[in-house]
Amino acid sequence: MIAELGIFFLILTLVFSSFGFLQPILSNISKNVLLFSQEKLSVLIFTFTLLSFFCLAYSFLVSDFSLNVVVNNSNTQLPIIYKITGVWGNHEGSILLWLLVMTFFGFLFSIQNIKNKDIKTKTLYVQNTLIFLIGLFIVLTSNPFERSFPPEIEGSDLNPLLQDPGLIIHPPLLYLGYVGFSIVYSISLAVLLFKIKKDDFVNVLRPWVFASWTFLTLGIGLGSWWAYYELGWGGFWFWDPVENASLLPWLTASALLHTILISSKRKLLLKWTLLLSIITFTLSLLGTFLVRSGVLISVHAFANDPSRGLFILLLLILVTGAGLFFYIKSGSFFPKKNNINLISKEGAISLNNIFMLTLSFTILLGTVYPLFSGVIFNTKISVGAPFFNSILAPIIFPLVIGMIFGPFLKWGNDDFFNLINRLKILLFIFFIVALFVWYLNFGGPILSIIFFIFSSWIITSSLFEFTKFISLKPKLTFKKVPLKNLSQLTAHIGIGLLIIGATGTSILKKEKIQFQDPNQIISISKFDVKFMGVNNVEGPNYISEMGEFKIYKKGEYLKSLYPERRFYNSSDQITTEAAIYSTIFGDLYIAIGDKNSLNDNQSWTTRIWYNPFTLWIWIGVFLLSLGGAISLIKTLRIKN
Amino acid sequence: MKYFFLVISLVIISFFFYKGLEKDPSIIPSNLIEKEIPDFKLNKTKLFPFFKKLDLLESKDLKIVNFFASWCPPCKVEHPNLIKLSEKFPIYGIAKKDSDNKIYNWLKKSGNPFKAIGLDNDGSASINWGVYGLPETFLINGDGKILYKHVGPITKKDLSKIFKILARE
Repeated sequence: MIAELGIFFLILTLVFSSFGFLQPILSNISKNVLLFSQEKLSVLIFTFTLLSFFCLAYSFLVSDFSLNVVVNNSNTQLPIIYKITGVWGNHEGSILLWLLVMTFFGFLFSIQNIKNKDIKTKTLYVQNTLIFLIGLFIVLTSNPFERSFPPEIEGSDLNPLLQDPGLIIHPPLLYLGYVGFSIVYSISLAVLLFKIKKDDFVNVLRPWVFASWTFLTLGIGLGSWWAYYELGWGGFWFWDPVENASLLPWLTASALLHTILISSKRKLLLKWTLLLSIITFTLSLLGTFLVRSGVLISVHAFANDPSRGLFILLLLILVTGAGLFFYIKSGSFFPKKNNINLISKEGAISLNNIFMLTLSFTILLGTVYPLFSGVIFNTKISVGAPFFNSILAPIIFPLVIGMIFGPFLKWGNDDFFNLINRLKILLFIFFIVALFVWYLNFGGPILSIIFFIFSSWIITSSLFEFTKFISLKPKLTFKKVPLKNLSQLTAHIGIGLLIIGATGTSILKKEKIQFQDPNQIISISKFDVKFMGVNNVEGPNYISEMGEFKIYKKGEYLKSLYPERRFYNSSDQITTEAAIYSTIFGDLYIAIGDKNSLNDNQSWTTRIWYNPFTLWIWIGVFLLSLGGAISLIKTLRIKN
Repeated sequence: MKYFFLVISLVIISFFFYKGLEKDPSIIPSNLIEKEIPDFKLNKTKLFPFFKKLDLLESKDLKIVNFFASWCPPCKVEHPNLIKLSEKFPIYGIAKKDSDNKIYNWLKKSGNPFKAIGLDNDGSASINWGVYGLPETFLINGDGKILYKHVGPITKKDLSKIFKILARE
């Protein structure tokens, strides 16, 4: 019954969004055909999608095994929290969540106070059309309320890898980011399609860009954190197609984030802002296509269904095609006065754009190349971490240099020698910092030293700029510090920390894999790791082999770690639960493998890593999103 | 002209993506095809006949090696089809991380398709055979060469394919 209600609400969503989509045609036929405005429709659509989502969540909660999606992704033994997250731990449910987020953003936009009513209704027109298309996709190819006949007595369990606290909020956050860009796209397309009065739109666009970017950053960060401790591979980023799919819109959105500063302050690059908005959402959809259609092999094993892939492909072509078509068509609608000096704030941001986009499209190429080679040459190849790592370094450096000096440049026109003169003190500090880092990192590979020096330069230059700004205004209290400076400070320091963490975890990590006997001590970095043996422990829906390791430093006992291997009976899967001892200087990371049955003395495969500065990655990501959130607050304040 | 480029590039890209949809990236050909069966070491069960590599090499018939476990649901899905196969060809079972009793209880209930069973307790045999999930099935000819590897449960559709391959030999 509840399931029928769910599909009923879903169909109502579809009907009302089609009203939105058809409204311009219908209102031509008769003025009274439709009583609903786009705003009211958005509220209705959101309400019905929410109700439909609740119906699905309820079905999971009461383990209604007459539904296919519940049978395949839940189990009576599953803890309640994972029954709920099971709702989006599968294709059908997660696309419904996608729709929910999309309608939620439409709803928020419809209640937002926007002076330009024209831009509002037209944006909602595009948004409701997009909602109609996604709704159609769900009803036609991915109906979560499909019954299984005959009903099953027990479900086959949620994928054990997804039974994890990190995965509770990772998908919703990621979707808030991904799908948030739908409204950014809608605004841009509305502007291009209906040729709305020039530069008004930038201020409408701004808060949505910041909000979506912040959520996307948090979502990617959480996903990476989950991969770090759940997969047991000792790393935080594996260049998996699904990870890349989330990174692509993040990069273009970061470019957009910076460009929008120019377009709102200097009324330049307006058209470029629109194009970036379109590209960003297109890349979100492309990511969805790559992930959901199963054209690429990935650690995220989603069910493959060519008909779904085809539908998303059509949607992708439609959205991209429409965006680019109207972009070209708008032609000379915007004034061409993009004279930008290289040595100026706009110049630095433009360079940032070029490198961000280069990075983004190079990663895109690497990600889809296996697909192309499969089609053209019929060969299987894999493009892995070595490719991405080698392209990353040369593009990161100019980006970082831009980040270091960009904030000190003036708008409009600046002079190189003048800049050097202004930054005499900073350059001297840079020199000291570089020497210091060199001294500390004595013996490390040259690449890691360069990365460390650059990242500490980012942090010092951000702090330098901030203190300089404060010292110019002695009466400034903390509460009155302009949010613009604060957001840039936090975000840029976040990037600095992120680079330090990533460098430490990838270049400087130490790894030891061995058969370890009980009571045997393995030394890694400054730690001695003593293996105490393995116990069998029973969890709510799994049996675990739990190893015990005692950590010593200079003979002193610090802590015991308990890495696990879990056997999920209902789905015959094994997951690795790494145990991590985190300190500010690095993580001691332990995972256990198989028992060695070749000799009888009970030795086990143990993998022990020392990952320097991993904690800094998570702090960096947090600061980045904090920076985004501060910018968002700032733009919302201006409005009021 | 601009529109022309837009349309052309969209068409080309979507052609590749569309073609990509028809391919299954998870199919990776096994390195062991056409080669002699690898070395492996199994543990004996108490209740079933045992087999070694030599047994597979010495019998000059077509035969099947099936990796399974009593704790693996997809293995139960393919079980009836294995029984059908066992009427024509001997099947050697390798049970991964399993126990005597559990195997016995299961096979007593649903029938035993296996000519002999060995236990792969440490997973080393699975590694040597390149098995990364259960169930996996190998077809082996009279000379001890691997003809075909099937990943995942054998469905009715797969059954006719397997019969075809074995009939060719």
